[in-house]
Amino acid sequence: MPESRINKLIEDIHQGSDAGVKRKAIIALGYEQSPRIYPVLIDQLLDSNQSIQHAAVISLGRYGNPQAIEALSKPMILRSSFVDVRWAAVAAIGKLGDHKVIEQLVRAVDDDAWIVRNQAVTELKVKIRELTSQREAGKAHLLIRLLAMKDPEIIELAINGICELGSIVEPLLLEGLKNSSSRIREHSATALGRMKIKTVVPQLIINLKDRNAWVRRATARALGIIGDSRAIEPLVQSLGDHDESVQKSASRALVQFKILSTEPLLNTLAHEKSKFVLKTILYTLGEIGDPDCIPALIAQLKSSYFIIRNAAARALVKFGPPVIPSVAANLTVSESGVQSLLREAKGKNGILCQIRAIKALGALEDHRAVPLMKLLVEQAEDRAIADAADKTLAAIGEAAWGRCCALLVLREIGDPSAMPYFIQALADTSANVRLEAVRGLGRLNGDESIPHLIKSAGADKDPYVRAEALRFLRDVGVGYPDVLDLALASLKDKDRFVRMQAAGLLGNFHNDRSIIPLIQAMTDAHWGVRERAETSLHNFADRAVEPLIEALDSKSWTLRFRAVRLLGEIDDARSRPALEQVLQRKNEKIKVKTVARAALEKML
Amino acid sequence: MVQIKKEEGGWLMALSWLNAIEETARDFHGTRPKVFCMRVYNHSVQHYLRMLGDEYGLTVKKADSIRGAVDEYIRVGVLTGLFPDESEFELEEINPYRLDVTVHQCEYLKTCQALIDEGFGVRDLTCARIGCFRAAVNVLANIDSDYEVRSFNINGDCRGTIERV
Repeated sequence: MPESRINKLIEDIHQGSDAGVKRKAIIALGYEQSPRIYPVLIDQLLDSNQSIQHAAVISLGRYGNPQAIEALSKPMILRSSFVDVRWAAVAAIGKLGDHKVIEQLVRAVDDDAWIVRNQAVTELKVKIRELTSQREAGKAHLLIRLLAMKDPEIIELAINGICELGSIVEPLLLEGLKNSSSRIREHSATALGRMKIKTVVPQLIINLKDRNAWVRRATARALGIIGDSRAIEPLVQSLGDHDESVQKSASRALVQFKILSTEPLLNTLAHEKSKFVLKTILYTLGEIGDPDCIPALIAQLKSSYFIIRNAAARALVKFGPPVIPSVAANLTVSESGVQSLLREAKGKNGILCQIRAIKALGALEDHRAVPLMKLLVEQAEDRAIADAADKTLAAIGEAAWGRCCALLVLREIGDPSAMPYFIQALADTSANVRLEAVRGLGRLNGDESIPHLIKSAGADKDPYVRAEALRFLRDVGVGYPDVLDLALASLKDKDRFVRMQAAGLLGNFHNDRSIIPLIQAMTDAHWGVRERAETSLHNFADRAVEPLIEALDSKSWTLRFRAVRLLGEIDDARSRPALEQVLQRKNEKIKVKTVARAALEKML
Repeated sequence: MVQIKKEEGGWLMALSWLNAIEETARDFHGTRPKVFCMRVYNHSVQHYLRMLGDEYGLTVKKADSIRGAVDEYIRVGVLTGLFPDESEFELEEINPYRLDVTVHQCEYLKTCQALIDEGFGVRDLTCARIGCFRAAVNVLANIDSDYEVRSFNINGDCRGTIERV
């Protein structure tokens, strides 16, 4: 641009009363390089009109003189009430400055306006990349300072930069671990972990007790990556942290130590009382997968706490088929003679002998002692006897949970070789154990399991077990004649849930032998059974029409009602005259007539 | 130091008790705690409605259907601050014997999520919310019913069914 043109623009700025003209001139000057322009632009930063200030900031950025940073960093610009001024200032400072402007940019990251914060973050990323590429240890403290930021991308860039600088930043990071900012402590730990610096392990161990959970979490993670065995015990203690995320980090860290962690974990498992800690320990042992811990895991299957026995079961599942023999050994029920102990437990030879016998029965976990123990708990005059009987009952109950969970493990592993154990468990005295056995057989889904499921569905004492066996047979037993016979018989079971499952199973079977029994089931005392029978009959479509027409003469109005409704759904021409006849009946219930009318309308 | 408001503290306490009951049910009844929990919900609803009557003079109307009982329980729940709004629930009467319930933003989601994390299926959830609706049907309409959770979503709606037995 000719000098005269620049003079004209400067004149417009100094004399122009129109702010629009002035702003336009300032913007135009930003593209020029004359030394006379810089002081003019600096002067315009003092203008009371924010639009002029804004234009001056933009042009100073474009003009490219780094000396402008000082003026742009002044509070009147960088903390201007006008968002556009702050935004342009951050962009200009980022463009003009080197790493020294990081301080200003960091301040702008906390700006109220999103657009300013975003610009500051963008500029900071550029500076971090520049710093990292220069690889100067002297500038590392700037990167450490950035660890206090909130923006995860900046943090990640800073950590990567620190890691690239290598061990020369170790003292700074060690200081970072003691910094008053929790973010710096947290991210210093992360950086040290990535760099696998072992000399800082003692300080990291101290930080495992930091008051800030994020710091403890990052520290645990770092210790796991570094892999120094001095950290194992403190990490095991961190499993008791009240913050779940710290517990999880410590657990993952211990998994990284593999079998080195097993022994301290087993020691803690032996004396820990908190169920949450125990659960985390069991989970960790499962992830480590050290066969040495299998007996301890199996022992926890008997816990009276559901979440603990469940965690132990899930840990054992991780071992896969090799664990089956050890787990199956837990299913063995004592069949040795206990008659003499039972006699002693009745108190024939004095209280001391009685208590000893009760305790022995508890140690044997023998289910045959249950009736006597219940009697003693309720009727024993001596408190000590009642207490001992109570404990024996608890031991027997816990042993049953142990068998349940053993079956759960076998089921989840899903290996067909476990089939005999499920079959054996169907004879268990505990209904819960038999239930798990049924579920296991249902899951294994082989032809071999069907006769056993039929037996359970038909003969088990517990209705829940019978219903569950029928439920599985709906999936795996359709097509087997014996299953059909069972389902027909189960329609008369005294438990309504069993009858419901049976009705559903017959609906899947589609055998004409079921039609009449299902029609009869539509008069069941329980609505759920009637409903299920109706749904099942729907599956037979036109094959059910004739018997349903006959059912229209039933004395039970609910049966007539459902038969009419079904005939309407099936929509077979044969049923039309019968439905019209229903409408003609003088004494028929209004509800039946209404549904008959709807059925006929549907058939039109 | 975190300061918890009295109202929130009371709610935390209630949730802790609920979790404790659900967990104890499983400690003693393993994978079939529903009968125990159904009894708990029955007691809870009865105590709640009685306290509202005895201590606050609130009249809770009897109902003659599943839908009517749940509607009344929700009305009373909104009135007493148990539920923020009636729109938190959607009720669909499939027939007079079956009611489908959708619960938006259930307060008990975390309790159910904890069970899902333990490996339970949706069918095994005892669901305190729909369980209490079932109990209300029992108490207010004198209808014996069963319930089942049909779907669970930690970020959204849960669905279940109350069905006459």
